[in-house]
Amino acid sequence: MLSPLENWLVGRYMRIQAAIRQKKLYIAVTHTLGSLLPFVVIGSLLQAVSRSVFMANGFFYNIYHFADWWPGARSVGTVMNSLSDITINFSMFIAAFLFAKYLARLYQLNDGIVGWVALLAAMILQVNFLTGLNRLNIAGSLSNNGGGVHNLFIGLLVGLMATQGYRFFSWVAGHWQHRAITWEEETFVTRGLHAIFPAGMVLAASVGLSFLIGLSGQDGFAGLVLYAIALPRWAFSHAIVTIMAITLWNNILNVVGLSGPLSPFSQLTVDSQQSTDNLSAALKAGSLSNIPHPVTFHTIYDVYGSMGGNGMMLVLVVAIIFLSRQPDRRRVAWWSLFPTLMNFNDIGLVGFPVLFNPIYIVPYLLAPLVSMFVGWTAIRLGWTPPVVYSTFNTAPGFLTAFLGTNGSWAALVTSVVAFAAGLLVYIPFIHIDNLVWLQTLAGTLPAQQREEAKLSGQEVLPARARAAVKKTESY
Amino acid sequence: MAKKYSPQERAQLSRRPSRTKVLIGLVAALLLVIAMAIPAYNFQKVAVANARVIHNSRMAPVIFIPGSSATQNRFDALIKELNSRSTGHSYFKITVKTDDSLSTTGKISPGDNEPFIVVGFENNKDGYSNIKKQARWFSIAMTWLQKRYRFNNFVGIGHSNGGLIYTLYLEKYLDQDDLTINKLMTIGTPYNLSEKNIANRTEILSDMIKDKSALPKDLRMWSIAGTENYSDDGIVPVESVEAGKYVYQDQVRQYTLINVTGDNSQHSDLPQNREIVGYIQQYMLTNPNQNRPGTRGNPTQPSASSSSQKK
Repeated sequence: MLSPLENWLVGRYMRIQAAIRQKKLYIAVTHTLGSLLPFVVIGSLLQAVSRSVFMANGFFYNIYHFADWWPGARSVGTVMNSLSDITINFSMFIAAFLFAKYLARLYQLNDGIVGWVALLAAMILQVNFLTGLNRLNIAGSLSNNGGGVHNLFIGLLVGLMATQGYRFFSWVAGHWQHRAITWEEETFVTRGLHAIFPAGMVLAASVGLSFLIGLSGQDGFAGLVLYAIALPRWAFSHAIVTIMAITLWNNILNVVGLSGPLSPFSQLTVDSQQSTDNLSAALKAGSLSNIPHPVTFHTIYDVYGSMGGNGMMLVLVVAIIFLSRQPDRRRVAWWSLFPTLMNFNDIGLVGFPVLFNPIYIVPYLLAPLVSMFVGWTAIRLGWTPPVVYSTFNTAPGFLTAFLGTNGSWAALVTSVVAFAAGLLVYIPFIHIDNLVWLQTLAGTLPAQQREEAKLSGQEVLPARARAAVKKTESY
Repeated sequence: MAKKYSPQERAQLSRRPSRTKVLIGLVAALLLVIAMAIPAYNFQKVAVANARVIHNSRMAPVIFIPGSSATQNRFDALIKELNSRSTGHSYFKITVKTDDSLSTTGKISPGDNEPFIVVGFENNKDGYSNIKKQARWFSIAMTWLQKRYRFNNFVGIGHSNGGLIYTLYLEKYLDQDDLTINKLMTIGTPYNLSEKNIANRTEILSDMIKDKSALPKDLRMWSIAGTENYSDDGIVPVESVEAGKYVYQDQVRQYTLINVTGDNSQHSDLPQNREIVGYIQQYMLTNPNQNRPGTRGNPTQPSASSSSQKK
């Protein structure tokens, strides 16, 4: 049933999985992504509907002429878009909270307090103290680089730092106490009292750190990290090797939860001198036969390398709907189908997940390169014209080439072939995923989830001899 | 594993997606894609066709509006004078009837990037209620012109009440996403009608001031006043022309007031005033000589002018 290649990959994957499944960090990350999913689904659906149906440059808004029969449509879109801002674009902060909370449980700290300390730290780090407290950069950081879940890594990092800081300061505080508190001496406020010192120190440290970040002149911690990984402008030449390399780099950043330079919603790829020249030449000649720059980020990456958002997510969603044996994966795929069709890949990243998932990281990096190669070959050999006319960034990925060439059937065929090529890359990994799932069902996997059981509740609190509330206490 | 599955559960959870369901899904997906692709394809065809026309038409007409009681022939002498100084501008006239229909004379020659177009009105009477109607008629003519000649920017010149019609049009009818007015010149336009005292604002002036925020921010505007004596051009008080600053100053990119005296500075003669023709040639025309480069006139500098430039 599995090809030799797939068998080899299964062996590799099982070993990786056995190693990382024991790690507290990995367990906390998977649980964080799981708890983040509802907010991402809600936000992503809102985003997809508002940007495609209710906004002036939306795909459905234009092709079905919404403005003609519903004049108020655009104001509905504005409201929906703001709602998406406080769900999906807030995911960086939600992730900081959830990650710290799950880590704290694994370290047997008070998860509620640690989670909130991490959330506050994340917000403090987005404040620029030098420009004054009235200018909070939280709102700005939300939509940074397209927003969505693409700055999740920063939330996780803050959550981790806050948790470890809290642990450290708790340990320091432990040295001051003459003896360990037994639970009989504990009152409701004991854990609160114990949390004052570590929580205060972590928050103070974030204020100091935030001040240093302010000195760098960047927009908070997220801005600093994105600035650090940003590529210089000169790196963006329109050679196929550069296009491939930058797409790969962008997608590597994606799978750890950072936003790279490329996105179907950034104007970077469209607003180049080359694209303008192409458009001018096409409009003047009225045909696509003599385009000065057939290979650009726009004609290759936008059209053939990002169907359904980065990483050819639409291919993965379709493949999972048809091939996955795991009901949960199929359910997530159905939820993500519409947003992915509109090029929002967030649900897929968080839901399958692709983020930090050794199975899907590899095809996520590989599939766009293969599909872009298909598109590039067809353009180079003159089989299909390059995309020149402006299209909607919410148009389904496989239609972009067809529309952007003003209805060239060759371009449509090339898109379908590129889609199929992406499918060929993803299918083996879905088979591996199925196999792992079937083995999990059969119970043949090693008892790898022992650590995870701690999160289910029973093992978090040491068993107590008596009732949790003492009768003698009076308030 | 935290949880043990019963064989039934296991069978349930490991079931393959059924083939019929997959087939139904594929057919439904194909239908949906077609339902998206066909309107999208049609939309794109139209969008590209429009983009081609706009890209290839660099036309920026100069559009004139005559004052009250004047017909579409009001500017004949001015345009004759302009065309004697420059060449290659076609001359096209439109009259808007009271029933919103249009009649035209003349034609715009192909390849003319800067035709002169005059828009006159069958009902060319004075009075605020008529001026309001004329502004609407003008917008009808503009829509028709734009659809027919596919330009996306133009230059406006209004004589007397024509300037009021322009102001109302800019405030009420112009869709700035669709059409750009680059420059506007009003000649002897009574922004405060015949009122000499600026403290007495007429209804039309207060209405124009109320809506002034709708004026295009990038507009460059010249207002020319004629004076025969120290107070008026025989008909329009100079204070009334100056009242235009309450509408345009600090609203548009540039507002310049020019005072012209001497020969032909009587209200009705203003369009023939050589000085004013010079200003039109200097400020309003981008291609003074479309077919014969290098013979551009050099009018003298404004004698008395107050100018406010908005940064």
